[in-house]
Amino acid sequence: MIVVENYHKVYDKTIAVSGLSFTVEAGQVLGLVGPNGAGKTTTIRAITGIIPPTRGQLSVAGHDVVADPVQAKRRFAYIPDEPKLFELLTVTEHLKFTAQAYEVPADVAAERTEDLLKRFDLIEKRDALAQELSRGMRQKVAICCAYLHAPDAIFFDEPLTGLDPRAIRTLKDSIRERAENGAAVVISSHLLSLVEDLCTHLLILNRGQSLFCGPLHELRSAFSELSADASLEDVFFYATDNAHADSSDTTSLGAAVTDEGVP
Amino acid sequence: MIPRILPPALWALHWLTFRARVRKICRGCRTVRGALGLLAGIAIFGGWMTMFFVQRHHAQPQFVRDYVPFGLLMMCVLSLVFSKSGQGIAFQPAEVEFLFPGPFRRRDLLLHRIVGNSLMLVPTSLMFSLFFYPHVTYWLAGFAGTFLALQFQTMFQVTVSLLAGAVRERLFSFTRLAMAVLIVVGLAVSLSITLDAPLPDSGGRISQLRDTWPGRVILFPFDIFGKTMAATSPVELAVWGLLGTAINVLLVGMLFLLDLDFREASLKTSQRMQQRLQSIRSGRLHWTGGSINIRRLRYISLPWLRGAGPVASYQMTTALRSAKGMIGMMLFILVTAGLPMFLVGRSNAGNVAASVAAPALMFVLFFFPQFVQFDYRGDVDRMGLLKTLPLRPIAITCGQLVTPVVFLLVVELLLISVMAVSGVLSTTVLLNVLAFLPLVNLMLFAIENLMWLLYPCRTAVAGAADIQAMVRQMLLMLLKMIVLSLVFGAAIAVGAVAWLIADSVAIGVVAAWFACAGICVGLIRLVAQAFNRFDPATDTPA
Repeated sequence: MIVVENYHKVYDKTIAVSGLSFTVEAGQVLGLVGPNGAGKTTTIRAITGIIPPTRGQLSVAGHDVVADPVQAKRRFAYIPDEPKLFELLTVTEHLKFTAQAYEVPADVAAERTEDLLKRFDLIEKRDALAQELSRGMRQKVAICCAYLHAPDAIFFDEPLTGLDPRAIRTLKDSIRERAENGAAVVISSHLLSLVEDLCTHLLILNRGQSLFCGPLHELRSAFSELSADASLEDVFFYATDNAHADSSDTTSLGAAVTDEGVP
Repeated sequence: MIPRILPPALWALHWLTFRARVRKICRGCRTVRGALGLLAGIAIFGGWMTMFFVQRHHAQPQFVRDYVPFGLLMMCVLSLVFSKSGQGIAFQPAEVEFLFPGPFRRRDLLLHRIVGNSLMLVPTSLMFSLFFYPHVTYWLAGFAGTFLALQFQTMFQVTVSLLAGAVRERLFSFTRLAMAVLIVVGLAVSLSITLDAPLPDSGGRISQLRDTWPGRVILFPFDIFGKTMAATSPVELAVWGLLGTAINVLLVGMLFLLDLDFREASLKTSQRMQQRLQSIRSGRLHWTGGSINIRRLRYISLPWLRGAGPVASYQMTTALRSAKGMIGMMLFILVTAGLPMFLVGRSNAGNVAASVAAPALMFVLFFFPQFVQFDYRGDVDRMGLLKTLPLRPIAITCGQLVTPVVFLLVVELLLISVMAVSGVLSTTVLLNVLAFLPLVNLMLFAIENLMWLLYPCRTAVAGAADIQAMVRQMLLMLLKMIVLSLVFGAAIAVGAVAWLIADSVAIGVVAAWFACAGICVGLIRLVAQAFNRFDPATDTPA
C-alpha cells in the first residue's frame, strides 16, 4: 500500500533523510520512532506530498506521489502533530469541506459525519467555530476529517497530543479497526508505549537513516547483544546511542536493514 | 540624588529590549539578501526624505496648527469609542509572566508600561517629523510636538483602559456616551457657526472651525501640541513644549492618584492581544466583531468546478464571517477621506465625489489587497493541508483567487456607484470600467499571491523600529507597482495596436480586454506553479 524506495531529502547542505526504503502493506501499522531531528516528520511529509523528495520513489496505493499526486492523495489521509484548522469554520463545516474536496457523496458524508462526531464526542461541539476549540478538540476534528473519506492509508504525526484518556482510547480502537479493515497506518511518535501497544511493525530512524525496519516481534532478535526480555525503550536507546557513538557503523546498519524492508 | 522613578531591573529590561532590536537589525544584515534589503531600504527611505526636503519651499505652520488638533481629537475619540468595559492596559505575554508575579509595585508596572510606550514613540515621531517637515519652521519643533502629541494620545488610551477595567460597565458606558455626545454636539455647534460665516481669505473652514468658542474648548489640549509643532521661534517652542509636557505629566499624576488595580483586566487584555497578534501572524487579519453571531452566516457550498469549488467555498465563508470589521473599515476610510474635503470648502458635488473616490480608489487598488487575505497568504499555516488535498494546483489556485477578487469587486462597485450617481463618470467610461475591473482585480491578487509564494512573509506585526519589516513592505510595494505597470502597459499596447490597425476605439478596447484576459490566465498558471514549488518545510516564514 505504501512504498518508499531509496528516499533522500536534502536541505541545502543538511541531509535530512538518506536512502530510506520500506513498505507498509494493507492491515499493517508501522510505528515510526527516532530522536528529534531523525527525519520522521520529513519522511511523512514527503509521502503525503507536502514537500518534494530530493530523490527516490514514493507511492501510495499504486500511485506515485510525485508523478500522480492527485490520485495518490485521494487514497490517504494525514493528521499532523498540530492540526491547523480554518478558524472561522465550524466543526461540521470542516467535515463538509473535506467531503467536497475528496468527492465523498453527500449522503455517505452525512452518515459518516454523524458516526464520527458521536464516536469522538463532538456532537455538542458540532456548531462551534474552530477558534473556540481546545487543543484536544482540534485534534479530534482533524482525525474526523481524516477518516471521512475512508482512506486506504493513514499517516499520524504524534496523534495523542492534547487528547483526554477517553479520546486516546477511542483513537487507538479506531486505528486498530481501520487496520483490520485493510488500511495501512503509519504512526510517528515519541511515545514508545503507544507504538508497542498499536504497531505491528517498527521503523527506527536516526539522523535520516534506518536503524531497524521490520515486524515488532523481530526487534529483539535484530539486536542480539540485548536480552530477550529487553523493553522497546531499552532497544531504542541501545540502537540510537550506538548510532551516535559510531556513525560509520550506523550507516552500514542502516543500509543493511533498509534493504530488507518490511516483509 | 536622582529620585528612583523605576526599579533598576525594569530600566535594565528596557535597555535589553533596545539591544535586542539593534541585534535583530544587525543579524538581518549578515546575509547578502538582508544587507541588500537594508541598502535598498535606505535608498528608498533616503529618496522619500529627499522628497520632503525638496518640497520645503516655505514653511506652512498654519496647516499644522489647523489639522493636528483635529487629528489628535479624532484619535482620542476613536480610543473612546472602541474601548470596552473590562478592558485593561496591554502588556507583552512575557511581561505578564515575569513582572506581574515579580517584586514590583503596581505603580512600577504602570510606569514601566508608560516608559516603554514613550520609548517606542521616539522612532515613530522621527518618521512623522519628516512627514511634517515641509510644513513646520523647525524640524526639532516638529519632532518634539509629534512626540508629545503621540505621548498624550497613548496616555489618554492608557487612562481610558484603566478606567474601563476599574469602573462598572454601566457607568463606563454612560460616561463614554456622554463624552462622545458632548464632543459631537460641540463640533456641530462650531460647524454651524462656521458655515454661517463667509469663507475667509486666508486659512479655510477648518481654521474658522478652530476659532469658534466650542472649537477652542474641545481642542484646548490638542491645540497646545499643534502649536508646539508649528512653533516659529525657539521661545515659542520652549513655552508650548513645556505646556505639552506639563499636560502629559499631569495625566501620569492623575493615573497615580487614581491608583487603580489594573492587573486582572490587563491579564485578560494581554491574552486577547496575543491571540489577535497570532491571528495576524497566521495571515488572518482579525476583523471579526464580538457581537455578531457569525455562525448564522451559513457555509457557502459552491459546485465542484474541477476542484476549485471547495477551496473557494471555505475562503468565501471565512470572508463573509470576517466582513463586519472590513465594512466598518471601508466606511471609516470613506468618512475620513470625505470629511476633510468638505471642511476645506469644496462645494461642487462632482468634485467632492471625485476627491473622495480618487484616494479611496487608490487605496482599494494598492492597499486593500494587502488587507484582503482570503487566499494563499491567509493560509500561511495551512499550506501543508492544501498540499495534501487531492486537487490540482491550478484548481486550488483558482479557488484561492475567487474570494478576494469578488470581495474587492463588491467594494469597488460601491465606490463606482457613488461616482456614477455624482455624474463623475460617463456611461461609456462606466461600462469600460465595469468590463475591466474583474480582470484588473484578478491580476492584482494573482501578482500579490505570486510574490507572496516566491517571497513568503508574515503580515508584519512590527513597530516603527522594525526597519527590516518596513523595508520588506516597501520593496514588495515597489516591485508590485513595477509588475503591474508592465502588465497594464502590455495590455494597453495591444489595445493601441488594434485601434491603429482597425481605426476603431471599440476594437482597441476589446483587444485590450482579451490581452488582459490572456495575461490573467498566464498569471494564474504562474501562481499555480509557485504553489507547486512552495515547500512548507523551508518556505513557511518564521
